[in-house]
Parts: sequence; structure tokens; C-alpha cells
Amino acid sequence: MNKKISIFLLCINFCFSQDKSIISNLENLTLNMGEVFKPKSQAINSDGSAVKCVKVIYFNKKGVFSTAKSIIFDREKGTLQANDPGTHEVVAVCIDSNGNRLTKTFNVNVNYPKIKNVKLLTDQKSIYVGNYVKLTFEVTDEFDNKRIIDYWNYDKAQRYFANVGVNLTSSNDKIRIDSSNNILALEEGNTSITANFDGVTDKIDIYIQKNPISELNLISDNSNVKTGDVVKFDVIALDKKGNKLNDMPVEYSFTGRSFDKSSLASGLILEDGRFVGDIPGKYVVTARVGNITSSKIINVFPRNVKREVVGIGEGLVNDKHTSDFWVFEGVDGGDYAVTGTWGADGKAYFWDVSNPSNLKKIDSVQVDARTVNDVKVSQDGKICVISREGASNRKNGIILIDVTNPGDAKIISEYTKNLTGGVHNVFIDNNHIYALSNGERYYILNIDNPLQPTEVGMFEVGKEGQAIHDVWIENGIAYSSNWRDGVYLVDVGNGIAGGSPSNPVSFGNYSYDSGAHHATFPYKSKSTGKFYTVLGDEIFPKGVNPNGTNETAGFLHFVDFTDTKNPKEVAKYELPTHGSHNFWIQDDILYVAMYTGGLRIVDLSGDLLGDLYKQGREIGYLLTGNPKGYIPNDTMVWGAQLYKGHVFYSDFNSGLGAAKVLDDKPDNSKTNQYVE
Amino acid sequence: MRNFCKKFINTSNKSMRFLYLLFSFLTINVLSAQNYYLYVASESDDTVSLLKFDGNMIKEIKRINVGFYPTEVEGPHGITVDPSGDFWYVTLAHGNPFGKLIKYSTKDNTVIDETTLGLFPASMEVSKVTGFIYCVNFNLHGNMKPSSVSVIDAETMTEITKIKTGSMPHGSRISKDGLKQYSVAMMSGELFEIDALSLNVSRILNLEKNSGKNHSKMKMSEKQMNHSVVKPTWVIPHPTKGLAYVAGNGSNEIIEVNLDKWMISKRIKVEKGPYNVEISPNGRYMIATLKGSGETAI
Repeated sequence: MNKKISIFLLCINFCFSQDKSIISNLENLTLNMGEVFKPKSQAINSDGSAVKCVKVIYFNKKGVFSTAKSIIFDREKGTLQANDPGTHEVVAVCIDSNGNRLTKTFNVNVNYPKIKNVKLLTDQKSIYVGNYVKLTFEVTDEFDNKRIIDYWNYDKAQRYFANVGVNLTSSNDKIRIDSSNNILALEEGNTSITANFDGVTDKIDIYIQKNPISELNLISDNSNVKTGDVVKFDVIALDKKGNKLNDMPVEYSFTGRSFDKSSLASGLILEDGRFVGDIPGKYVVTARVGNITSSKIINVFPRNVKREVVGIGEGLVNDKHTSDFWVFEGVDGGDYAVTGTWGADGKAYFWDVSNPSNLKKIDSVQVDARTVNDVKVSQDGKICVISREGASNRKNGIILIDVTNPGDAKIISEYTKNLTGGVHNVFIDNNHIYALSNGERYYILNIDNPLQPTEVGMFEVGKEGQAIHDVWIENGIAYSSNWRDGVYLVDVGNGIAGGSPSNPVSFGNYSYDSGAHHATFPYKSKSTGKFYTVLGDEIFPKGVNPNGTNETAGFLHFVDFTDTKNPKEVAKYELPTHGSHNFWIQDDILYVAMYTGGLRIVDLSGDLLGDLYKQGREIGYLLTGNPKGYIPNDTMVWGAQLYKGHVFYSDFNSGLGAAKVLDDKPDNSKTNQYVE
Repeated sequence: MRNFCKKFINTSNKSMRFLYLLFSFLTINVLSAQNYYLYVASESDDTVSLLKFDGNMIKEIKRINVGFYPTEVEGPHGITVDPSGDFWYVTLAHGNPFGKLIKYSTKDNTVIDETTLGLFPASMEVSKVTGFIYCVNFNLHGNMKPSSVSVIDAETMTEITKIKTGSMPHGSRISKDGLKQYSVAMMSGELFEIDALSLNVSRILNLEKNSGKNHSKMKMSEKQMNHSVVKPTWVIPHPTKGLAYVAGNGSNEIIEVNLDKWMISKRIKVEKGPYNVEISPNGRYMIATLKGSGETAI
């Protein structure tokens, strides 16, 4: 009975607590950057009487993760400090003597720091009547932080301008400034532009020249191209006397109409005059300098690269998930493969794939692991390395296997030093193994004596929160995929930066905003000689669905790394609603595992620019779901490898497979059912 | 209790008689209940099992897949249930690179919210006073350097602060009154006490034998990160006495700590490799897993 009464009283207590609230000097608080403030809060009842808080605890609703230091707390002094401009949510938690909590969230506004200095810049050598003036704003605040608002990054400018009083004026009517602060040159002569940022001003004098061009000729090397072909446009500008004018500020644009009235013209033109058409159609490309224009018509025809892709053989694994795989030529000249397994019993399977239409499982090894995520074989076909995760003794590490006779694979050694956090991916190259450790770094092991691998080097990005997912070696360069830190190019023997396996030297890096960089494939275009690193994302936007189709996202980023100091992202391959995983490129053809989107084969010939999928570069695809699969009929392609003319792949749900790209074009007779 | 009471809010407009009957029913139900439910995390399988124990038989009644990457092992490690019984929480040790804390409903075992913590977030417990979760960032495979205890507001799932402690902190447990959090640093051989309200380390005790150092007066940066002989892996405060018990995994002992005097009061020799230690709610029994010998000691 006493118990019942106490529960009842607690309920009463809680019910009353609903009428309590917190009052605080955080209400409507505005701080300046760097300002330290001591919050004071009090809980009160609805009648205004005070409720004693044993403690009031404050926190920033963004948390304390490295990216959220806008408001930080000194808990010993009981103060907070404003570090970032904007509006931030601060939560006050009052804990009363009965252990009841009362919380309230306050919006704390932090002023943008006072502007100390503004500088207006332009890199335009000449501004002609009819051209836009491309200004850059360099704003220095009272803390000497410099903010560059570039002409092209107006998204950043818009956010900043919304919080700072910005006003652009001109000294006369020779220019026109629109509501988005775009500046159009109207008349020849001198003018000046004054920018006022919260009372701090700067002025730039501009001379608008009369357009010297009397004739503009737009030229290109081709008028009839295929979708995805990059056409480079140039202009020849002539003055009245027919003299050639150099370095003219040309602005390019295009219009177009697709050949198929059910489709829409689409393409891309860059500032340097490179144009690519995505959709077959007629495009009018225009160059403009001031009021002088020149146009040229480009016919963009279908790329016509579609080919039949057929499944040749399957090595079904349906009692567990399959992970990565590797196909190799054995010492006996036969063709073999090894596949890993995921979330299961630590097995790796060996296959005879000499006849791709009859993939035969010939042996297996079992190690202490739940997941053998990655498998690789040495160039000489003698040593296989497999990774371990989820070992019962938590030592994980790697296992070396003698595969001189793949039908009788024998474990040579286990290596766990510094690899206990789990090895997700490995690579083997010239008697060295590159093994990821705990998703943070990779170790380099010499296996001259495979019985006793020896650690000779290690590479890590060296940043807080460093993370790594994969490493791939080619020509003495290690390409590591480091999620938000992007790809790192590391000399491990190439010589480009004086590195070696025992002295890995980083010499190149490229990262991008999504932070989902998962795999890298280095690739030198046969047709153009350009060198790319192709960077793949891995994203599961809705987490894990173990019993059905997983939603996947992300794409391949093509980064022109020809100049290692100045990499440029130029193109992407994105399959709508399906995400990328592992991939292989050979002879200007991409073989990519698009997880739920199946195995995809893509033409990479020629220069690469823009949206490769949209450009009709896809040669074909194969959906690999199997009715007898671990999850029946569920396509989830993990990786792809071209080997002796066949495309091998592994599927998470069905094991190993082999496909063939035929010369035949696909049968489209049923596509347009009502066309005779 | 907060959420327990919340359930009654909906009934607050009903008659007092109804409330009385409802309370009576619940009380009888509690007293006569024979079923116990347990959540068990499977680290290498990325699953959590819900077990039902009826006093005689224990069986798995549901298996919940946890994590975000179907193709990667994320390693659920720590698991705890909110004092109200309405929510359960699991830590995922492996992220890229930081791990996560996920909040689930006990009603239908669906995800409610999540937040990112530090490297290899592991054991944790909820304070009944603050409602905060205190979770150690174990950093099991990292370098030998001080790690931290993350404090998370369970309501908003916000990591409020990271409190710096020792190397490889493990075994986060809250005192019965909800005001102190204890954890041990496996590689630096220390016991840490955190004030659950001020969110600061209040005391540090060196658990090594023959140690003359008074760590509580030293700054973390001044300490040499020597490898512990004791290798403490777990700590549990006694529910009724001013004592705490530490599993000395490396020294094969259970260490009794007098919390009032903040000193080691007893070293109890046990079989090889004690790892986890718990004490029955009435304070009469201690149960310890002996990882080295594969036994459980009571």
C-alpha cells in the first residue's frame, strides 16, 4: 500500500512540474565574438515562486563534436564563450533536489565580428561595354580573420551578406548594379565602385573600354559530335582593321533542342570554352564579348555505345554474405579467384575460374574472424593475403596463405601487431603488404619471409579524426581513400617524392564536400593521356536493412590529377538512386559495382567532362540478384574486375560471378512497342 | 521515473478511483511478474538480442540489426537501459573513425535518435539524477594517450562534453545516488571519479601496487603514460556502502576501494583475468567474469 501511495505522490510531483519553467539571462542574449558570459538561470512555478535547482547545466545543442565549437563552456568557471557568428541553441537543464529535470532551450545570437577592412579585387585585365565586372570581396574582421567572397561562390556570399549590411554603389551611370550585386558595364569611361560593409568601405576604380572588337569568330574542331564528346571552342577577335586581339574576356553560353521531342537538351559549357552535350540534339554555342557575339551550331548525335552484357557463370555462395574478391593467374597458368565472406564464419573461398561459365569452388580456409572483408593475391600468384575483422580474441590482423596450389590453399602465417582494431582492406605489391589498421592508418609490411612479416612503414593523414577506408598501390604510389580527407597520393617506391615502403611520402591530396570517399582507382586515359584518380563514395542513407534491399547513394568523382599540385574534379558517374562501391578501369572502360544498381560498364574514351551517365556513356549493365541468393533476387554488387576479357564480380548476396560484354547491340525491339 | 509518470499524464483527467485501480494492478503485476528482459549486444555481428527470462528458461525473442553500414562491422559494445525502462542505448565502436550512440525505444525496438561520440565508445550508464549518459571512449586500438568520458543528454541526444580521463577508459558505472560516475583507465591503471553534476573529474586513484604518486594533484600532461600492471577493466560502486570494486584484469585481483577515504582497502586474489564486476542490488553478492580462465565467480 505504501508503494502505491509513493507512486501516486511521484505522479503528482511530475504533474506539478509541468507548470514550471526556466527564466534565464540567456533569454534574447546577444554576444559579440569571443565574448565570455556567465549564464544565470532560475526555475519557477507558474505562480512565480522559485524552485530550487541543485544545479543548472548548460550545453550547446550542436554538441561538442569537432565541427561544433560555436559556443563552448568552461565548466569550472561556469561561463560560456561565443566563437562563431549566427544564432545558436543553448540548453539549460535544471535539476532539483528530487532529481527532476527541467529543460529549456535559448537562442543565443552572436554578432558577426566587426569588419576592420574591406578590399575589392578583380582579375579582369580589361572590362568592355556589355561585360559583367567580376568582383571579389576580401573582408578582414576585427580578429584578423580573412573572408574571401569569390565571384563564383555566391552561395557563401548570400549567407554572409544576409548578416552584414552590404551596399554597392557606383560613381556614375556607366555601370548598373542589380539586386544580387552583379555589375554590368554599360558605357565607356571611368567609374568607381564603392562597397560599404557595415560602414567600412573600399573603392575600386574601373575603366570601361569601348569594345575594340568588330568581328568575333567562334571556332571549334568539330561540328558533329556524339554525346559526351568534349568540344573545345576558341574565338578569333578582330578589330576594325582586321588585327587580331588577344586575351579578350569571352563569355560562353549555349541553347539547344533535343532531337527526341520527349527529351530535353542538356549540356555544359565552361569558362574556357569546353562544351559537352549530354542529350542528342542541335545546340547553338555562343561567344560574347560585350555586345559582339558569334555563334556556332553543334549537332550532337547519340553515342551509340550500348552493348549486350550477359552473365556467363555463377559461383553461388548463399549461406552467407560475400565480400571482396580477386582473380589471378596461378603459377600453373590456370585462372583462379579468391572471395571473402562477410558477417559469418571467417571463411575465404578459392575458385577455379579457368572456364568462366563453370566457376568451381576448389578449396577454402577458415580463420578466426566474422568478416574476411578483403582478399588480394601477389603478382606472381603465390601469396594471398586476407583481412580479419571480428576475431574472437580481438587480435584481427591479416592471414597470409600459400596459393601456389589454389586447390590446396595453406595458411602460412598470421600477423596482428598494430592491426588489432581490425583490417578492413589490404593490398599486396612487390613483396609488401599494405594493411589498414582500425580504420585510421595503414601499415606497410615486408613479406620477403612470408612466415614472418615485418613492419617497415606506416602512413596516416595526421589530422584529428583521421579515417581511412581503402588503399590501392600502382607504380609505386599508394592511393588511400580517407573519407572526408579525400585521396592521398603517397610515394612508396615510385620515386616522384623520394619515398619508399619504409619511408612513405605524401605528395598529393584531393577532398570533396560529401566526405564519403571510400575507394580510389588511378587511371591514365589511353585516348587523351590525362591522368585521373577516380574517387568513389559509399553512402547508405537509411542505414542497414539486413533482410531486403538496402538503399545506396553516392557516385564516382573523376579528378584530373595530371598536375598533381593542382587536381581538378571534372566529371562524375552517378546512377540515379544507386550508390557506388568498388570499381576497375581498363582500356578506357569503367567496370563499376553500383551495389543495388548492379554491375555497370561505362565508356570513358576521350576527354571527360560533366555528367557521364547522362551523356549515354553507359555500355551496359547486369543485375546480379539470384533467386537462390542469401537474400533472394536482391542485387548488391560489391566489386568488379576485368580479367582476360571477362568481367568478374562479387555480389553480397550471391557470391562470385562472371559476365561478358558482347559485340552485339542490345535488342531494343520491345522498347518502343507502338512504333511500327 | 520521469517517463513512468508521463504514462499517467494521460490518465490524469480520470477519476481517482481509476488511478487507484490502475496503480493496484501495476503493483500486483510487478510483484507477481516472472519475466525479465535483457538486451545483449553481439559485437562482431552488429546485432542486439532481446532475451526473455521467465525464471526457468531464457530465450531470444527478437534480434535487432544495429549500425549504418550493411557492409562494415560497426561493433555494438556498450548497452544500457534508461531507468524509466522506455529506452535502450547501444554504442557502436567503429565509425569513420568516431563511434556512435544510438537510442532505441523498448516499446518496438526502433531507432529514435543518435549522436557521434569519440573513438570506440564503449560502456555507459544513465544517471537517474541528471538523466545524462556517461560513456567511456575506450579507444581500444588507438595510441596510449588519455581518452575521455562523453556526457550525453539523453533527451536531445546531444554530447554535452568530453571529460578527459586516462588511457583506455572502461567500465562506466554510476553511484546509487546518481551523483558520481566511475571508470577505470585500463592502460594507465587509474580509477576516475566524475562529479555527475559539475561534469569534472573530482578524484583520481592510482591502482598500481607500490605507487607513491598522488595522481589527483597532477595535471594529465605531466603524467607518464606507463603501461599498467593491474590493467583495470571494470569498476562497480557498492549499492549501499562507500565502497567500489575494480577488476584487475592484469593482476588477477578484485580491488576494493574505500570511497570515503579514497584509498585501496583490500586486494582480493581471484582466478585469471577478471573483466566485469557487478554487485547484486542488495549488496550481498558480487559476480565477476574471469576472462582468462573462462569462468564466472560469485
